[in-house]
Amino acid sequence: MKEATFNPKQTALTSAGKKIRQTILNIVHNSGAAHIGSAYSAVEILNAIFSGMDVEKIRRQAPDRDRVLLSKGHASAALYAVMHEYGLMDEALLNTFYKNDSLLSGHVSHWVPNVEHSTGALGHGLPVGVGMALGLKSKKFLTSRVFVVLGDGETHEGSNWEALMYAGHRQLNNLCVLVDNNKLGGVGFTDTICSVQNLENMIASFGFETFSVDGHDEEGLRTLLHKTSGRTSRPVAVVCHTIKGKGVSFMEDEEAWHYRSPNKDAREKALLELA
Amino acid sequence: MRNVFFELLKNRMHTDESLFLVVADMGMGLIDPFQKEFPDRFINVGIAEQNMAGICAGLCNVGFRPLCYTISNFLVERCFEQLRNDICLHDYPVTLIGTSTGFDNGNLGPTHHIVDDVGCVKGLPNLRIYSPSTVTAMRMAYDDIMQESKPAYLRIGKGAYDLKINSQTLNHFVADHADSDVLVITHGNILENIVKGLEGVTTASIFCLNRLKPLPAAQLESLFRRFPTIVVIEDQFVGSGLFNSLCQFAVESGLTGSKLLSLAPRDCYEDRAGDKNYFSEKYGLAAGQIKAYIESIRPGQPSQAPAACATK
Repeated sequence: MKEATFNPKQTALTSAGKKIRQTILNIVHNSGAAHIGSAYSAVEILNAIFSGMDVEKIRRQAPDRDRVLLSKGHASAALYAVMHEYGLMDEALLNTFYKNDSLLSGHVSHWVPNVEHSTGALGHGLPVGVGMALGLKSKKFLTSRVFVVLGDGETHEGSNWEALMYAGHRQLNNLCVLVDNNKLGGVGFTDTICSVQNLENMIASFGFETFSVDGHDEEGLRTLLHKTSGRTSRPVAVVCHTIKGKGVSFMEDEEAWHYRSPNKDAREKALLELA
Repeated sequence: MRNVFFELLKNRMHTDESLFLVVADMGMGLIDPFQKEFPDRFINVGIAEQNMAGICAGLCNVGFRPLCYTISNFLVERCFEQLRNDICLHDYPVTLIGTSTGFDNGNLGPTHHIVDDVGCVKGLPNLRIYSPSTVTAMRMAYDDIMQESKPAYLRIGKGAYDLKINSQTLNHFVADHADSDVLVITHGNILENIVKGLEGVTTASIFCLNRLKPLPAAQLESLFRRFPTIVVIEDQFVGSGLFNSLCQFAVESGLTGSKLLSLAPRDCYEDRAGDKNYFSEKYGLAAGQIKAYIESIRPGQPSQAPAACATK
């Protein structure tokens, strides 16, 4: 494993990255929802995944469509904002986020059209993704892929390691695990709670082809996902080094923004930075 | 019973390509044919029940109808949240096949006693629960499962107890005596003791409720109206098994005219080893004890469960 030579804190956002963050900011602010920091660290990861998918297949729920699971379901605002960018969620629905009687809860929900699976309790997405990857192979949909996005804190859940072990054993090369390694949990830095500093090697030891990348380099992520499609005999894991709250200086690396919702003042300041 | 089930399943898998068997390192002597005959629709995930349940949900997403198999308590208790969030929330038609029930594994100790599994999962919406008493009922239960596209838990006891049943209905009488005023309602493999104990006793009828959820409301209503005394005999804790469900049913349905009694293990963790017969005797569930208890019931008089079963 190569030493990381990038600095995600310095990575400039693309116009798409800024636009998606503006959308997230607005829906979170309008509803008083939490988890904006977790959503901001995952924007480029989700955008890179969706940009390489056949969105039309998702829209018509084709059996051989690619699957996306946001296992860190508390970052639902990021998933919904990205789905909106790709025409998989209309604006009227998006604007109901976290409000009473909305389909859009604070955690990812399968009741929402074009969403594969409900998540929220951590450690659930990866076993389900392994089941999808096995099932797609069994049905001979050999070019379909399954993308599972985990949080770094989420890797503390043991169910992930059951799934990683089995995926490696079965050489599920249609499975791509992306870890949003923003290094901050709910109440402190992941490495001080229970270190996963060595995540790349840990996952590699389970038989994965493992990469360590700047998780805010959207183009780099896109290229990597494309490059690994059908060209490896092993499952792929991408440890994406990210910044919690990326894009808004006063939210970055601040654990308070795991739970805090931006008020009017915070929203205005954030919008200036995301312009 | 499980041998019969696996034979049944194997035959179905030959004709139904949506079926996919997932086991958690269990099924010695049973799974080899599946490995050979269905290499694309059989996996052994190892001792990893959370992964097993999640994988089944993922298989449903791509169009399979999976079954997962291990010892009943590991199947429903180790991975409870996966059953709740990944299977039942999505209403995925995963069939959970649990081997062993009650004190089938009595000597293995309290980690392997399966007396709280029904109570553990009966609160999960969408989940259907089956606890067949005979091989015949188990076959009917699987037919019932396959008629619906729902998550289901089928708990299969050890042994191969069977009776000729003159009924096409899953929940049915095993003995229906016209003059009886006591009805024994049971499920699971305690039936053998009941039938043996009540042989020649015509004051009590026996009814097998092989599907515990959803309850057959109309059928139960007629039973509650007919019998002044109903005794639930089961291998589940009194506080969370069928007795508990029927108490709720009776109150909600306004059918409180019948006296409802329970013969069941007490809600506690056992500190002693013992086989199935040892625990049956401890809780008054042996054939002779059941007979004595049923014959002690007098119309119009209060009846109590044997002291060993009483909840504190």
